[in-house]
Amino acid sequence: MTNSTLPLTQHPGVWRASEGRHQDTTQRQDTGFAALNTALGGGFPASGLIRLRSLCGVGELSLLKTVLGQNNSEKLLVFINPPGQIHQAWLHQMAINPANVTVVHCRSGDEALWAAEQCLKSEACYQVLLWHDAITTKQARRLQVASTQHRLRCLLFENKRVQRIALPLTLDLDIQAVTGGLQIDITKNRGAWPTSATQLMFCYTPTNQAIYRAMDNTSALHALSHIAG
Amino acid sequence: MLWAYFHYYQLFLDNTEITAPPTSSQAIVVYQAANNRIMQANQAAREAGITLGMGLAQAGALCPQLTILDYQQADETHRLTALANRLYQLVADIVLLPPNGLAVRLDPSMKYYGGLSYLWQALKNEMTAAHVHFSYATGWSVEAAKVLALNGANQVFQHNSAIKQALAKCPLEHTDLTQQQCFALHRVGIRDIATLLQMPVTELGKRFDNSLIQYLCALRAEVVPRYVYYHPESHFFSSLTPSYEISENTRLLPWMAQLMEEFMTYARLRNKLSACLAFELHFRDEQALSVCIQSATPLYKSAQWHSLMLLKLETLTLPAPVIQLSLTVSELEELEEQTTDFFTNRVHVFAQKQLLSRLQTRLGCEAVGAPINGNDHRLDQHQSALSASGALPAYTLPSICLSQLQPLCAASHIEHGPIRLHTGWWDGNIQKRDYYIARASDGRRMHVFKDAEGNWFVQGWYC
Amino acid sequence: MFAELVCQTNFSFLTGASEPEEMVSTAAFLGYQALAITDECSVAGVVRAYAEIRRNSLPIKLVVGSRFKLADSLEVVLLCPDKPAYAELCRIITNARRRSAKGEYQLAEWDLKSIRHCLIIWLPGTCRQTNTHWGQWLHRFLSSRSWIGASRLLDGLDEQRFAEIQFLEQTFSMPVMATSQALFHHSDRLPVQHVLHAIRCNTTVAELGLSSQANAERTLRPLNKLNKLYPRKWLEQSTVIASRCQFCLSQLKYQYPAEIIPAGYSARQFLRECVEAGILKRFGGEPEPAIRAIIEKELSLISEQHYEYFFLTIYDVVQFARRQHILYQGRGSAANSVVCYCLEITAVDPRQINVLFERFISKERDEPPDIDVDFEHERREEVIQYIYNKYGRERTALAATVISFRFKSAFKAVGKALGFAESQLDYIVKNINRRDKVMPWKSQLADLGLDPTVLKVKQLVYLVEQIVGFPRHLSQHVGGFVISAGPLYELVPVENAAMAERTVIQWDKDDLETLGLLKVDVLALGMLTAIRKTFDIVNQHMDSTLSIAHITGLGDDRQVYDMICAADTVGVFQIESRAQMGMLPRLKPRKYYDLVVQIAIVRPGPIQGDMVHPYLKRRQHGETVNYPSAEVEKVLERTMGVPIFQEQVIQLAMVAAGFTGGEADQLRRAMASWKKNGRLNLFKEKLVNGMLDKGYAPEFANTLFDQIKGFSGYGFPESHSASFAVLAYVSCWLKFYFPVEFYVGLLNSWPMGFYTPSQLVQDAQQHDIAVLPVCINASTWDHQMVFVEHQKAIRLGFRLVKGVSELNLNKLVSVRPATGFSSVDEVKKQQLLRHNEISALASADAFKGLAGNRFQVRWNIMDGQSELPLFGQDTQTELFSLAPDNTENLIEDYASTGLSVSHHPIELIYQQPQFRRITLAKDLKQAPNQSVVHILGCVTCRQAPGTASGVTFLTLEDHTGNTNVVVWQSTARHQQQAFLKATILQVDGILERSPEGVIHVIAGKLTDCTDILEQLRVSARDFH
Repeated sequence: MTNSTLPLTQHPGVWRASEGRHQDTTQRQDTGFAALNTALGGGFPASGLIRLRSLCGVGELSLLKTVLGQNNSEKLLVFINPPGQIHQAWLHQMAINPANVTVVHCRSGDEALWAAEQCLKSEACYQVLLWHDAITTKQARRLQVASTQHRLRCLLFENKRVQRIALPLTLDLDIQAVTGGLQIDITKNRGAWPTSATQLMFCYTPTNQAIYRAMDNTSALHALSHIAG
Repeated sequence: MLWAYFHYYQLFLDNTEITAPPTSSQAIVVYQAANNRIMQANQAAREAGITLGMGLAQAGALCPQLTILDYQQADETHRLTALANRLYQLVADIVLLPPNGLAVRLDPSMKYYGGLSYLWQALKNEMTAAHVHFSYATGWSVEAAKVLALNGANQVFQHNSAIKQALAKCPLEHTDLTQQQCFALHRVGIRDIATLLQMPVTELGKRFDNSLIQYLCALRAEVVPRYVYYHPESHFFSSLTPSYEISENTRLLPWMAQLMEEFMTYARLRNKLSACLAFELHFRDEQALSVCIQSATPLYKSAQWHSLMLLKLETLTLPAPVIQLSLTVSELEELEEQTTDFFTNRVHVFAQKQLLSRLQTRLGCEAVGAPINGNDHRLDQHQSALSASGALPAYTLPSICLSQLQPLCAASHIEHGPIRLHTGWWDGNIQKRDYYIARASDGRRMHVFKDAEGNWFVQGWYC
Repeated sequence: MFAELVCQTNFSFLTGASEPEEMVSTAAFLGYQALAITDECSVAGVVRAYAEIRRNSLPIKLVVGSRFKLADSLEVVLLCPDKPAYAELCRIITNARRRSAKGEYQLAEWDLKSIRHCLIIWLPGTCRQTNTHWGQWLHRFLSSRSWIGASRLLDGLDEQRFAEIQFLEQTFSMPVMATSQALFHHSDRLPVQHVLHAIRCNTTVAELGLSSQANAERTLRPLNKLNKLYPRKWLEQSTVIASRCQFCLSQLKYQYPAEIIPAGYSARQFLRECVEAGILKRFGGEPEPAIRAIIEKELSLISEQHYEYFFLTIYDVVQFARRQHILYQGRGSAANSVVCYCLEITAVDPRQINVLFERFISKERDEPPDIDVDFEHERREEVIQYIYNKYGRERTALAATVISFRFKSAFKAVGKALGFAESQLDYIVKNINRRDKVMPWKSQLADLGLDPTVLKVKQLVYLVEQIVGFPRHLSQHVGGFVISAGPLYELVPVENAAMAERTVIQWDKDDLETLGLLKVDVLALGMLTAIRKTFDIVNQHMDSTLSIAHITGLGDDRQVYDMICAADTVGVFQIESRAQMGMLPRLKPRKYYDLVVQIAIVRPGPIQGDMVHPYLKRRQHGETVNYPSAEVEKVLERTMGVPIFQEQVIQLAMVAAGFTGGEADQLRRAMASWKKNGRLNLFKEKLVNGMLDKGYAPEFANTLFDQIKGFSGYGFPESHSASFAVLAYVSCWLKFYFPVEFYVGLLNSWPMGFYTPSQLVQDAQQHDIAVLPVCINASTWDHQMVFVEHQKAIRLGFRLVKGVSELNLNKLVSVRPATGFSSVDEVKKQQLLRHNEISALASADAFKGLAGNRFQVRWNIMDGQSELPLFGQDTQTELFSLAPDNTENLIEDYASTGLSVSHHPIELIYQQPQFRRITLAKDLKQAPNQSVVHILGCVTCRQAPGTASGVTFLTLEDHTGNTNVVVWQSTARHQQQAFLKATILQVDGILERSPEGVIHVIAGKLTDCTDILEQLRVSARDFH
C-alpha cells in the first residue's frame, strides 16, 4: 500500500472490506464462547432476525445460555411452536426465571408468524424464539424489520434437513454436533465476514464416566450401553 | 311492631337435595366434624331415631346405611342471601341472621296487601316455591319471634296477649342465652321464660352482665335495637333484538358495540369498571351461545373493548342466524386511578398483559401456556405449571418433553443412566421404567426409557 | 461375597418398612456374609434380629450399629466391632436422645470426636464443599477407623456420587465400601414405605411427589445384581469391615447392683441370713422338715442360677414398702416359693397351697424368674422415686413398651395417607365390629359405604393388614424397672419418656428376656389401697392390728365362703363383675384353691376354649374324669382334667408332646403374642405329631391345640391367679366382718373396680347401712365411718362433689369451729373457697341445716353485690320463692355428686299408674321360673362380651337391687332405639332362674321411659 493512499484509509467515509470489523455498526453481545465471539466478530447481534439451522436435539438451545440470560428488566421470553413442551427444570439450569417465560403452540405456520410479530411489536418481550420450517422471504422481511425497529432479537430455528433459501437476516448459522462439542458455520453475518467450521468444546448433559472409571472392568459395562435401535 | 321470623332448620340439606334428589328411603345427615355433632337430618334419618346434637358413633349404631355430608357454613349463608333476594320482591324490610334465620317486618307492608293474611299467603307461596323446610312464628320483636320459631310455634300471632302466652311456655334453651347462663339458671330452678320474666330486673342485674338484661328488654319489646336491613348488590343486564336476523359474524359488531356503550354509561355513573363482558347470542331454535370477552385488566376506554370484540368476532362461527343479543356484567371493580408515572417495568407489565390477552383472544386460551413442571416422578403427570417455585427433581430432565411417546428406532449409544422409576401404584398409573440419555449417530441427545416389557421409547430431546 | 452394613428396620419409626426378623432371614437367604441393623439413633430392633438368628440358627452374622445425622449435613453409621465399642455407641445414643424431647435426638460434634472403638461409615452427599469439610474433619480425628459408603440407587445422582467418592478417595485416602442403604427386605414393600413416609409427613402419598422413593432399589438386592452395579473391591471392602465386627449380644452380662450386700458378706450368705430371719418370723421357729427341705432346695437352685441379687433387690424394695406402711403383694412364678414367703415378698402361706415347686425356676428351661410386686396405686410413685434415688438415674430406668399400630389407628392413618375423607374414616372405624366372627371386617366395609371393587379400597385393605403390628413409637412399660451395677447406658441406650424426669431403655420386656436380663416389676393395684384404708379405719377402733398375713393365717372362713357363693360380692376384688356373679353360685368355691380357679376360669381365654362347661359339670355332678395317661393326670387332676392355667398347657406340651424346655418356653412366648404375628400355627403340627407318636388320640391333641389357641393373650398364669385369690379372699373377709369400713375404704380409693360410687352406695344401703349425705359441718374431704346411736354409718365426704378442690376443702375443715358454721356467709368470709366451689357445695345441699333450700342458697351466693363492702348490710329480701320438689332434689343430687342418698329415680316414678304391673328386683326371687315379668330400672351397664354369640347383657338398677337382662341380637336390632338410647328402661320378658338361684330376665319388649325424668343423667358403663 503506497503512502499516498494512507490518508485515504483514515478518512471516516471510506470503508475497506478487510477492516470492516472495527467500525462495525451493529452492537454485539457475548455468547459465552471465545471462539464463537471471534467468529461472529464480537458476539450475537443485539437485534434482528437470526436463523439457526440444526438437527433438533444437538444442544442448539443450551448453547444460547448466556445469550438468553440477560433479562434484567424482567421482560418476557416467548417460545413459539417449540417441537415439544419446555420443562422448568431445564430453565432453572439455564438460570432463566420460568415466571418470565411464555410458550405459544399455534395450529398453523401463519398463526405462529402472526404471534411472533405481535410479540416483537408489543415492547413486552426481550427475546422471541420461533420454530418454523417454511418461512418465505416476505415473512422473514417483516420479522427482520419488526425486530430491528423494536431493538430485540428474534431467533428462528429451522430444521437442517429443509432446503435452505436465502433470507434477509442479520445472522445465519449452521450448527452440527461433532465429538466433544459443536461445529458452527456462519453463512451470513451482517457487518462481518462469514466464517466456517468454528469448533466449540460444549458438553451440556451428564455422562456415566465417573461410574465407568470406578467400574475398572469398563468392557463389561460398555456392552450394557450399546442398545438395539 | 310485628315481626315474622323464618328458621330454616335444614337449609344446607335442602340445598343439596335440590341439586341431587335422593331416593326417599335414603337417610342423610349433615355432620360437623369440629364438635362431632349431627347438625341436620332428613326425614328418613329422623325415623331411624337420629336426633340433632347426637355423636357420629351413636348415629352410626342406630342406622348403618347413613350418608354423611360435611357441613359448609358458607354454602348455607349463600343460599340464605338467595332466599332473601327472592323475598325482596315482596317485602322491603328484611333482616338477615346467618346462617339459617330471616326476620321480616310485616306491619309497614300490611297496608299494600290489604291485611296480614294476604301478605302472609304471598310470603308462604314464595317459600314453598323455593322448596325449603322452615319453622316460623310472629312476635312483637325479632327476638320474641325467633324464640317462638325455634320452639316450633308455626302460628301467626297478631295480638300481644297471644304472643305473651306462647312466649311464657318456651324453655330457656331456645333463647339466645349462653350455655353457662342457662346452666346457672337451671341450678336455681328457673327453667322457662315465664319464671325468668317474673324475676325483678334489679336482682338479675346484680347477678348477670347487662347483655342478658338488654336481651330480656328486647324480648319484652321494651327497647328496640337497631337492625341492618338487606339490600341486593347490583349488576348490569340489558338485551337488544335487532330488526333482522344476522347471519354473518362481522355484522354483529355494531349491535355488540351498542350494548357495550350502554354498559359503559352504566359503569361510569357508578364509577366502576369491568374486565369481562358476557354476551349471549340467542337463536330461533339453537341453544343460546355465550361469547365472553375477557380482558387482562379492567378497560375504561370503549375503543379498547372495540378492538378486542373485533378480534373475537373474526374467529366466531354462528351455528344459526342471531335473533337477539344480551349482555350481562356481574363483577364490577372499583376504578382505582391509574398511576400516571411511567416506569419502564410499570409500562411493560401493562404491555405484557395486553399482549397475552391479544394472543389468547386470537389463538384461544389453551394455545398460550407456561413451561411444564410437576411434583411427581412420572413425567407425563407434569402440566403447564402456574407457580414458578414448584419442587424440582434432583436428576436432569430434557429441555423439550414430548406429550406423545415416540418408539425409538435410531441406533443410539447410552451416555447417562439408568434412572430407575417404579412408582405410581396409588392411582393405578404404575410406571416401571429405566430412563437413559442416549446419543444418536447424528449427534442428537434423546431422553429415552425402557419399559418393563423391554421396548424402548423417546420422551424428550436435549435441545 | 458381600455384607450389607447400612439397613433400617421398622424400628426407625415410620421410615423402615420391614421387621428386623424379615431383614435378617432375607439377608441369610441371599447369601450375605453379615447384616448390620442400623436404625436411626436406636438399637431397639437389634435384639429381635438376634432372637430370630438364634431361633432359626441362620447362617449370617449380626452386626450391631446405628445411623445418625449431624446438623443436616453429615450422615454417618456407627458399627460396633467389640463390647467397649457397643458401650460407646450406647453412650452416644443416650446423650443424643437425652438432649432433646421424646422421639427426637441431637448429635454433637464432640460425640463423634470422642469415638475410640466404633467403626464409622460416612455416607457423603453430592455437594463438594461440605464433602471436603467433613473429609478433612474425619481424616484428622478418625482416619484409621472410617470408610466411605458408596451406594448406587439408580436415582439419577449415582454419577455425581461416584465422582465425589473418587475425589474423596484420592484426596483423603479413605477406603470405600458398597451399600444399598436398605429400607425394606423386598421390593414389593415399596407401597408400605410410601404410606409410612406419608404418615410421617402427615400428607397423602400422591402429594409426597418427588420427595418419595422413586424406585425400590433401597432393598436387600441379590449378589449378581450387586456385582453388576458396584466395583468388586468395594463389595469386598464391606466383608473386610464385617470381619472386624466380632461383637455379639450374648456377651452382654448383667452385673447386679452390689450395694445391697453389706460389706463382708457374699450374696449367698446374706440371702441365707435374710431367709433364716424370715423363717423365725413366719413360722416362729424351726418349720416342719418338709418345708425346711423345700427351702434348702430352693436356696441351692437360686445360688446355682446366680439369682441371689435378684431376690435381694426385691427384698430391699419390699422392706422399704414395709417401713413406709405401703401395702404390697408379690406375684409371679418365683413368688410362689417358700423363700419368697420367708422374705415376706408374698403373703401366701405355702402350707396352704401345694407349692408348685417345679414351676419355681425350671433349670432346663433357664427361664429368668418373673416376680411382679403390686403396690397401692396412690403410693406407688413413692416406691419408684425410692428406686431412682437409691440406684441413681444413671443406673436405673424403666423398660420400654413398643406402641404399635392397632387396627383402628392403622385404618385411620392409612386411609388419610391414601386421601380418604377423615369424617368418613371416623364413621367406618366406629362401626366396624372387629369381634364379628361371621363377617370379617373387609366384607363389612361394603355396607359401610366403601365399594370393595374400587382400586383404592383394595389398596386400603391390603396396606392396613401390612401395617397392623408395625411399631409407632416407644413408650414406658407400666412398671418394669431395669437396675444395673454399672451405668445403665453401657448396657442399653436410655432415652427420655413422655413423662417428666422419667427415663426409658430402648428394649422392651421380650428383648430383656431374650438376653436373660432381669427386670423388677413395680405395678399398681387399686384394691391394695382400698384394703389398706379399710385396715387403717378398723385398727383405729380395735386394738389388734389387722394384716393380710393375719387374715390368711385364719384359714378358710365358712361364713365368708357362704357370702361368696351367694354372689353378694359387689366391690370385692376380681370376682365382682357380672359374669363372675353368674358363675359363683354354680361353681360354689369353698376353699382357697377354688378361688384361684374361679379367678382364672371366668376369662375370654377359657371361655373361647370352652373349658368352663366340662369343669362345671365335673365339679357339680362329680363326673368321673378319664385321663389318657398318668403324666397327664398328674398335671390336670388339680383342675379336674381341664387345662385352665398357662403353666398346665406348657407342662402338657413337655410331658405329652415331648417338647424340650426351650421349645416349651418359645410356645409360651408365642401364646402371649399370638395376635401379632401368628407364630403359634408353626407349633400346631409339632405339637400334634409329638402327641400322636406318644400314643395319644388325635382328637385329644386337636382339642388341646384349640384350647391353647383360645388361651393366647388371655390365658392366666396360675401363680398370678394364686396371688389375686389372696386379695379376693381378704376383701371378701373384710366385706363380711367389717362392711362399713370396707365400703368407706372402697369409696375413698375410687376410681377403681367395676362399680360407680352410686352403685356402691346402693349396695351399702341394701345391706342396711345408713349413708349420711355431704354436710358442711360434719363431712371431711374423705368419706368417714361415724357412729349414729352407736350404729356404724357412712358419712359422705366432700370428694364426691364435682368441681371442688381437695386443698381448699382441707383448709376449710381445719379452720371449722367445733360447733360448725352458723351461716353461709360465715363460710364465705373464710375466703378459702372459690365462688364456683361454694355454689357446687350449695347444689349438693351441703348447707342443708344452715339456710333455706339449695335453690335459695345458690341464688343468694350468685348475688355478687352483697360481698362488696358498700353493700355490707344483710338485706335478705325474700323475693326468691322457688323450692325444689323430690324430683328436682334428685336431679340436683345427680348433677352435683353423681348419686343420691335420699331417693332412687325408680323409687320416685314406679308408683305412677302405667307402672303398676312392675315387680321390683328384690321380689324377683319369689316370681315363678319361666314366668312373664315386667321390670323397670336405670340402665347402668351394657356389655357385649366377644365370647357370647351376639348376646348383649344389660344391668337394670332400681332402689331394691340390680337385675341382669339378656338381650338377643334380633331383639336388640328390632328395638334399636330403646336398646341404645334409653337411660330408664322398662323390660317385659321371661324370668329364668338357674337351679343355683342365679336370675336372668330374657328381654322381650323394651320400652324407653327416659322422658319421665329427662334431666336425669345416669352414667352407664357401655360396651367396655
